[in-house]
Amino acid sequence: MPIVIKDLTYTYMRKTPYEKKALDRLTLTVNDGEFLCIIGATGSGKSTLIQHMNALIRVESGEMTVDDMVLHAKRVDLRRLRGKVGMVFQYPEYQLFEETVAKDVAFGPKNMGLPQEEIAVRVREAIRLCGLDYDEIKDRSPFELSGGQKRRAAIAGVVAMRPEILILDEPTAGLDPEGRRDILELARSLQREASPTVIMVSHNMDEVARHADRVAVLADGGIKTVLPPRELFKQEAMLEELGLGVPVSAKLWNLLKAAGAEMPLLPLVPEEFAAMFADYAGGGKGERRE
Amino acid sequence: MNNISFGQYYPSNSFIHRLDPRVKLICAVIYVAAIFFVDSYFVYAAVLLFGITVIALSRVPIGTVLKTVKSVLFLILLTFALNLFLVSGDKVLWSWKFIKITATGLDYAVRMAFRLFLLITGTSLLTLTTTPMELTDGLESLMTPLKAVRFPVRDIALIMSIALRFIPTLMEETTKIMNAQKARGASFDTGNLLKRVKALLPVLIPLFVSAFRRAEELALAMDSRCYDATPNRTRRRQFKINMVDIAVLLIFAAFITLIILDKYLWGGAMDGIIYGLIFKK
Ligand SMILES: Nc1ncnc2c1ncn2[C@@H]1O[C@H](COP(=O)(O)OP(=O)(O)OP(=O)(O)O)[C@@H](O)[C@H]1O
Ligand SMILES: [Mg+2]
Repeated sequence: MPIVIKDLTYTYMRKTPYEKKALDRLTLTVNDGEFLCIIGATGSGKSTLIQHMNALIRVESGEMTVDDMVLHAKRVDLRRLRGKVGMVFQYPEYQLFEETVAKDVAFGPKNMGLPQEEIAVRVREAIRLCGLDYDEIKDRSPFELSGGQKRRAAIAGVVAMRPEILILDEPTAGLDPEGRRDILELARSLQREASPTVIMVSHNMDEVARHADRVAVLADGGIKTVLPPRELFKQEAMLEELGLGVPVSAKLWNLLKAAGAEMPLLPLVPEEFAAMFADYAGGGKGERRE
Repeated sequence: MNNISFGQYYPSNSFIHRLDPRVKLICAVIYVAAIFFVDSYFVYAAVLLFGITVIALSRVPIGTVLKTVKSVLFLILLTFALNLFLVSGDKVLWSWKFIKITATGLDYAVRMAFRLFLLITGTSLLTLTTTPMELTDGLESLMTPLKAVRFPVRDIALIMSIALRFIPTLMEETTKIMNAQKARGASFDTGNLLKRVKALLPVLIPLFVSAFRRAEELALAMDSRCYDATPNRTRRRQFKINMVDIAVLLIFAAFITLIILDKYLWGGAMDGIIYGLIFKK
């Protein structure tokens, strides 16, 4: 169920002195079953782009299709689209409102008009998929959970709609390192078990390198390039010019290369770097080669 | 939701924008009062001309000014209709069964509707050319004499500017929460009234939670910076009346004098003269 976007242009506050072109002839295809990361400087249009994907912002100019649904058409079956494309906003815990976690998670499926039993099944499943203990948490108020639990509960609210495409806007913002790792692991396990296609907006290059199949770089409302992370992070100068960076392992790799030691493959994570470097420097036996 | 620019301020660098906000406030208050003294059609025309001149000088597009009328158009039309049908007079212009329109009624209706129109456009010009912050600072400065009677001018001004400061933030927050709930299939514009009100709960509850959180943070930040520790705070932006401000006040005073003279001294004589010019020959 690919997403195909062609020449998408969007302007906020059109025809006012505050007019702002957020997307400018953006073209992008999201493949089935991939983990796509979107990176770009602040204000480059990432949030605007993903809000188009479930028609929270309607296509103003350009074309966009999600599977068989044409989003630039006059009428769009919003209920069906929003069941297909799940959107987790930045700080999703701020959208919790019900008395109990179970009721809150049930909000989405209820809006989809599902029968009661089906809702109950989905709520239980979504809470479990998000790494929470259903029996322990279902009757608690979402407002008394810990920060990490709140976020999981909020994500469960989207997962319960069983979207085939899951979109996450900076899901790790404001979390400690362990919380960040946990949420990313959650995104991965959701991809395996529930939503085969994941699109994630992130400012953290180490996270992107570790998880992305492909990375789309946004600049000034357009796509600068879409590459697998191993290719992308070789272009440190380009990324730095856009106000972005590269992950630690790529940084080291680039520095080594500049110093005359070129390892064949760019390592994406520190573990990989260590293994490759050991290999390169000592044939894997840890000996020094003079 | 995306097209709300709060306070409808229209940025530009005209001299009207740069006027001392206190001058603009005083002018606006006097204008509102003066409109109710406008008597003759001649002076209505003069006020209209004056208004158009000010709009032109402020470089705010006339369409933007008229847009502010749109929201109260219903009120203006209602006033017009009520006056038209309910005010009785001798000279009947048109009648059908029990409905009749008299010359007096028509005269009244036109005046009242026009008066409202001038009132709205005139005052909207104040908010179009002055930022909310300038407005509160100006108000605070104008209310300073009230300190003598222990009226908490500074606190009131602070409350106003905090409220103004947070309205856009809360609106942005509302949009965000609405979007998040829409993504979960909520819809806010279908169903009957009761359904729609109920649909707002998933937005209002998170909004209140976040407003309280913000209030708490703000109170902490103010406390930690010793708000209330000194009785006489100085301000960063100082107002200074300059020649342009004085000139504007003088022109305005002259204009008000015309309105008052027309009502009390000439008794609408201007209209008589103009009627004479049009109809006698
Ligand atoms: N509701 C809005 N009204 C007006 N302008 C907006 C609105 N939302 C975003 N913009 C503007 O559109 C541009 C793109 O914004 P967007 O939120 O898509 O950026 P982003 O890449 O998600 O940035 P960030 O990394 O800060 O989240 C920015 O310049 C922003 O100021
Ligand atoms: Mg964003």
